[in-house]
Amino acid sequence: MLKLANTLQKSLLNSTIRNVRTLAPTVNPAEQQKVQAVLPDKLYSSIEIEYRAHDKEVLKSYTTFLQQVCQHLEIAQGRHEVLPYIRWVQPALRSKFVHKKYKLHYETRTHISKLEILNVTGSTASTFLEYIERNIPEGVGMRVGFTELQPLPLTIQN
Amino acid sequence: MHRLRLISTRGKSTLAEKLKSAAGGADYGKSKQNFASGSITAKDERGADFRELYVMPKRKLRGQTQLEQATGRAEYKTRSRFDIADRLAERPPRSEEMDPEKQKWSDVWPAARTFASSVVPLPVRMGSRPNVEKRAPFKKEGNLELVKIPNFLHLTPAAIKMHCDAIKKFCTPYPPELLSKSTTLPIQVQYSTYIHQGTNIRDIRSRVVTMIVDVESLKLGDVAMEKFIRLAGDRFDEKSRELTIVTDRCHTRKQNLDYAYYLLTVLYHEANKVEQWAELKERSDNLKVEFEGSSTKTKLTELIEKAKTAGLATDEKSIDEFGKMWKEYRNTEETVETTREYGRQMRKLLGI
Repeated sequence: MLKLANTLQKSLLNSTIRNVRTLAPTVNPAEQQKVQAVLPDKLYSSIEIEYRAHDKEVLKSYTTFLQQVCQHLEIAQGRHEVLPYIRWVQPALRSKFVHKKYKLHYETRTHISKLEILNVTGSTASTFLEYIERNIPEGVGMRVGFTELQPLPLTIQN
Repeated sequence: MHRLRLISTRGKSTLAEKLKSAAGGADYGKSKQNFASGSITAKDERGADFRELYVMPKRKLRGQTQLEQATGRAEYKTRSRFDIADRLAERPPRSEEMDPEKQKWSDVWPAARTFASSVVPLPVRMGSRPNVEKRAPFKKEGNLELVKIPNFLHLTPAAIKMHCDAIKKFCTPYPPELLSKSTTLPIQVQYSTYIHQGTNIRDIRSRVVTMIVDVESLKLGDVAMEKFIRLAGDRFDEKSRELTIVTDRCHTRKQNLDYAYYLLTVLYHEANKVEQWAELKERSDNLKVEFEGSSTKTKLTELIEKAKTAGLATDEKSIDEFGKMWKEYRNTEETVETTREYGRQMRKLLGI
């Protein structure tokens, strides 16, 4: 028992314990187990394009542009939705001093529009989206939602 | 910058020349003499230049001009406008010189640009007027409102067709055999990309990945399925038989997708494992109350026997149907319709 305590004490005194942060061991992705099955091209069951702006006429024009592009590139169109605008209100006091009852009403309206595209391959999608995104008018923001179809991973063997 | 120059009649003044000669000295006159007589320079006996004797100024004097004006024989120089050079430099707007037969609009306006009133040949008007009938909105020349709004002049239908024809070769058709819901692609991966103006091109929401798996394609056995449902918890949907995994705990989309695949793999393999303590499972541990082995079933079979002996027209074969209805009744929220259905089935079973 005493001998054990002595050896422990010695080891503690001799060893220099330093908090050293070591890098994680380098991983070679080629040697790792393959998880996702490799397909020749991506497949999307639907791509939803949601675009927002402060001017609804601009969105209307952009929608007609998108629909024409879909027709020319022979892409199946899903539904087109015009959602109600999001309003942001910030009133300002009308008078310099006092008269809290009387205000100036200021608001910002963000109009939203959605268009869905169905059953496209990865190359078609990237071509279409690159053309669309290069021609976004000023003041329009966009969200593109992808729904990609994939097979079961290689780690699950049925 | 155009300078307005007054065309002077007294362009050739001898005073200036006199001053030059006063400053120039002996050298003056040499160049004139050379010009006038070629290379011959006339000099007097002392070697000095020949200086012309001043008799009269070399112009029409005041008296003469007045006489001419009075008699009507004066030659009037036609004066052109002082800004004639500016006015000649001005061209008509480009839109007036355009020919739709010879030019394509996509060549005139190939890319997005701010509205230029001289280039667009349309008679556009824009402006808010109190009474539009009386006064039309403002014309396009110098109209800032037309400049401020985004225009689609670079995306006319003809231009769109031209662009699409050029990029069509990069599109591939969707394989028709995969159009219907196929068993080979049971996983749907959903993610978003965001485009907006700002100082940062990135959007943190684009790292979120949602994976929806059709659980039927995993081909799990009954026991494994039950374990899978227990492990998945809220992520499993009863009605659609879909497992939804939403990950955003990693920094990038790729990492989140890998994590989702990892979770699916772990779920699958863990569901297929049978632990020793799973044998301790009892009827009360089931996820749903089963009709098989319930006291209701035993009591019901006894009741049917008694009813048969009593002489009622019992329907024994519909006990399976009753079992299904009973399971649904016990495991879902009780409604008026389900209670009525229970009563109806019971009466049918006992032949009442």
